[in-house]
Amino acid sequence: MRVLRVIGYRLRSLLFGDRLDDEAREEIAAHLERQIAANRAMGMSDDEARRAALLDVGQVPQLGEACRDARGLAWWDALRSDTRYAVRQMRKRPGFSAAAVVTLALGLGATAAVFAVVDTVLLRPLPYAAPDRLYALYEINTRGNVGRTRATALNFLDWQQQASSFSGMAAHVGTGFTLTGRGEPEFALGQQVTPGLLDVLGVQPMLGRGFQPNETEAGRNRVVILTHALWMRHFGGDPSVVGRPSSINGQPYLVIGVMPPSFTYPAETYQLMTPLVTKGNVSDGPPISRSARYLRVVARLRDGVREESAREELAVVGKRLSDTYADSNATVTIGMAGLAEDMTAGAQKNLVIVLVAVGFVLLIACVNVAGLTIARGSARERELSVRAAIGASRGRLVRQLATEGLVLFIIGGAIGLTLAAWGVAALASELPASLPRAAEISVHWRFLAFGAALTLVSGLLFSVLPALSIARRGPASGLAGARGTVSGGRAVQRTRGILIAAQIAAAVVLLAGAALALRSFDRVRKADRGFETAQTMTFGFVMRDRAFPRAADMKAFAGRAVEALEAAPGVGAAGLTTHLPLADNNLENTFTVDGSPVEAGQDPPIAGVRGVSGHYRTAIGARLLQGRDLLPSDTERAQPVVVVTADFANRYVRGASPLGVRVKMGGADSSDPWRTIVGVIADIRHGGLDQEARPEVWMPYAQLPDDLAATWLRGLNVAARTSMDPEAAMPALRAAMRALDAHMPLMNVRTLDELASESTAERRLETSLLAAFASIALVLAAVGLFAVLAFYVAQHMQEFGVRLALGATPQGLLGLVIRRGLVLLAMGVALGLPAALAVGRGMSTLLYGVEPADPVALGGAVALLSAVTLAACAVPARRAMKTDPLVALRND
Amino acid sequence: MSRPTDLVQGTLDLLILKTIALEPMHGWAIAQRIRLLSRDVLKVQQGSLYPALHKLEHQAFIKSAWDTSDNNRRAKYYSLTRAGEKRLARELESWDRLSAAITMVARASEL
Repeated sequence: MRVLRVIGYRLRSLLFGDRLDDEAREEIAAHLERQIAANRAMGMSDDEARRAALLDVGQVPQLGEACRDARGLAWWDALRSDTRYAVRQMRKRPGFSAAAVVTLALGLGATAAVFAVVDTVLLRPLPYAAPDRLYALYEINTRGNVGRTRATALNFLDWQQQASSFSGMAAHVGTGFTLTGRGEPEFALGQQVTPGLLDVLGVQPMLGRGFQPNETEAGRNRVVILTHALWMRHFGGDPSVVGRPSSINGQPYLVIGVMPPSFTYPAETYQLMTPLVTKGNVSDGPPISRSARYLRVVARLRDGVREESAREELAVVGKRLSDTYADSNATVTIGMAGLAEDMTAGAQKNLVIVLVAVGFVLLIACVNVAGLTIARGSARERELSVRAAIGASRGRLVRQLATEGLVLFIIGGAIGLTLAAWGVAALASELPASLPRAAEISVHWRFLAFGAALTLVSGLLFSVLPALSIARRGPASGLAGARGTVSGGRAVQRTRGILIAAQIAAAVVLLAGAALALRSFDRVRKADRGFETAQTMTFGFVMRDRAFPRAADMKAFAGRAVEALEAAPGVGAAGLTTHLPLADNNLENTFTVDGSPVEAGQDPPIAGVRGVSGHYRTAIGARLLQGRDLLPSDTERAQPVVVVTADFANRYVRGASPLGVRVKMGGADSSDPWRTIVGVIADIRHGGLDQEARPEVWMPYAQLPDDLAATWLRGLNVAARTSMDPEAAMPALRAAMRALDAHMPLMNVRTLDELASESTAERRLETSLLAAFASIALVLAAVGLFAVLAFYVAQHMQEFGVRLALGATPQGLLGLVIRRGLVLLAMGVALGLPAALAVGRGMSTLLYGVEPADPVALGGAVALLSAVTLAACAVPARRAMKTDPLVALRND
Repeated sequence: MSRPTDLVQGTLDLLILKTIALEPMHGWAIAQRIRLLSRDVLKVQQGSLYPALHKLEHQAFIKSAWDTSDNNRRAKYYSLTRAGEKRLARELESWDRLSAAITMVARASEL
């Protein structure tokens, strides 16, 4: 009861303070009147009565103040008046205030925006139940440099049965699906999953049901669960599709469920799920064996089981499988990693680099404002001294100055956060698809909380410190000396000098980092990728087993397709490949090279397998180094031939010339026929422009082993070099394909240029962020140095005047100021260079062909910074040079 | 800020609470009543009275209401709350103990 009443009074005081003040005044006035009346009744004259009453009451305004204090609001009043005063101060110096607010808005906004990305990708828990109990399991092949691989189907089934540390385990593999029967045929990526997947993740369909255990059996597996996005797009969000059959890959699939909008797994690109058949056999399913490693496995750790004991159990299970299945599993162990960590591992390092960079920007911004505040403090020395002299305590002055700083931070933070919230939305749509969880990035309460906390913490820190530094000087300092005494403010000058040096050091680090990233990016762009991306259109199609039951049907279709595509208007060379470079799609196999046996302890040759046809090499502009191309005459019945990359020839083929040497897939005893090398081409950077090329073997599509073609290689990619804008040739290419098969959807329609650009999208984004941050840092550091020198010159006008009067030359004064700037610059660079080296080593993931200590990057950073800061010195230095001794001495 | 130096710390609160325990009263009347009852020994400065009243109100020991007084003038009348009654009882008790103790000490030093 009393507590409620107290709270009520407090609120009333806060909200209606003015009214309470009025009431108190009225109360006191009434008291005064009564006292006067009483005095008069005792026989005093009117004047006497009034004087005596006033004497008794004291000063009415002060009494009002005392009443306010009694209401426990002293701090609030002080804050209010400080704030009001701070706002007035801001208005009085719009230039200073605007500079500070813009600086802080940049620093705080950029930091908050980067935080939004980092938070979503790295910090926010995955959108599954108890996500920290989820782990990715995988095979580790200890032979040679194979390392981590996906799991085989039979191994997965054994893990699932034997590892009791997990309450659930599921496997999945990505596959393409063709949806027909509703408008345009649509191609969508999806996952074939074991039925327990949704239970392991702890998610439920929004409509319908999940999979049932017996749906892994061949014949029962024609059921599908849609993601919300696909349901909305292809089925128009119609709830009645659940329970109805839909045509997928030319087969009737029963739609059994729709996932909620928040669900994505393992990435947004996968839009439907069907059961993975692990019992019985279906012709279009991936092989159930112990040799085909294609499954991703996710498992939920049983409650109460520790990660270490799960690892130990997996080691035991792995050992048992190695012993039992020595053929396939002798060198295979089982690995596990937290699912969140596993999904974001690639992005983590680069995001941290960006976060560190933006932290430096924020630091520079804060230091800049602190420096400006100190400068303003020196200019206001007199005002502060007067306030101190008439009784303001030091704490009170610090509080007032800190409030002024904090007001700047809060305004800057508010503007920065608003811009960042807007920027995050824009950024989210620009982020490369390769960045995990990019689709989830949004303005979240955590972003706002972080931004507010960042603003307040940095604001308090960088407002209180300068306030303390200003208030440290006693009231005497400002009153005793005239303005601009030489001795005055030396400590402040030193503090500001240190701040500026720190700022320059941070700018050195940022510039060096950005320079390293830029040079790496340049190296990546200029690196020999082995093919030309200009004017080449690419797209893919899948030959479903319904329409193409045998490999021979596929090969025939591929042959017709090449002819039709090359005949399309505007198309020069066109060809097909099973694996397009940069498209995140690869198949590697072991090879045996005739006459170059594998030495004991050495790994057999491993190379990418490509089935190509038509003028594929010319279409992607790959260079033929020796021998001849694969030709249409290299048919299924002709002698098997291959073209290999230079890397393959150099690494694996002994002898003078690789031409004429025979190779085959698999071991020496494999059933693959010997294939003669007829040509050598330049190395292809298949995995990415910044990935070293790996050996490749190209064979005519017609000569691919039938079983391989019919299982793994049903997808084909077209590359067509055009004589016009590649996009403009697309309608003709589409028409050519439609003429061959009206029901075949074309997917991944992109130019090779777009593929190249996507392949470097993440690097480009990070590099441009670093460059942007470095530019901000450069400008801020220059402004900081300019401000400190300008202030120095303004403070020393009188001294300069005296010096000039005593015979100093203007050039001497110029040198004096420039020297000051140079000392600060040198200090900053000396501090910054070692830090830049350390940061450079930390950003190794972003470096390509550049050493962390790259002299060009570091030298360039220092040179640019020096040039800009010296330019910033020039203006104050010139002002010092132009000092008029008469004016300067008259000053005051 | 302006605490009465002539009153033992905290006794002004006690005097106010005790005075308005009888009937709701406005500030001037409280001061007068204290002066009368103490036979002009205790003069409460207005500079102390009003801050004390406001503080007590904000601690919810007393409450106030505007009303018209005897001679038709508006005045703010203070009265005890339930919490204030309890507080008065406690203050009285501790005052009795304190004054007894002070008396004992004072007499002892006379010997």
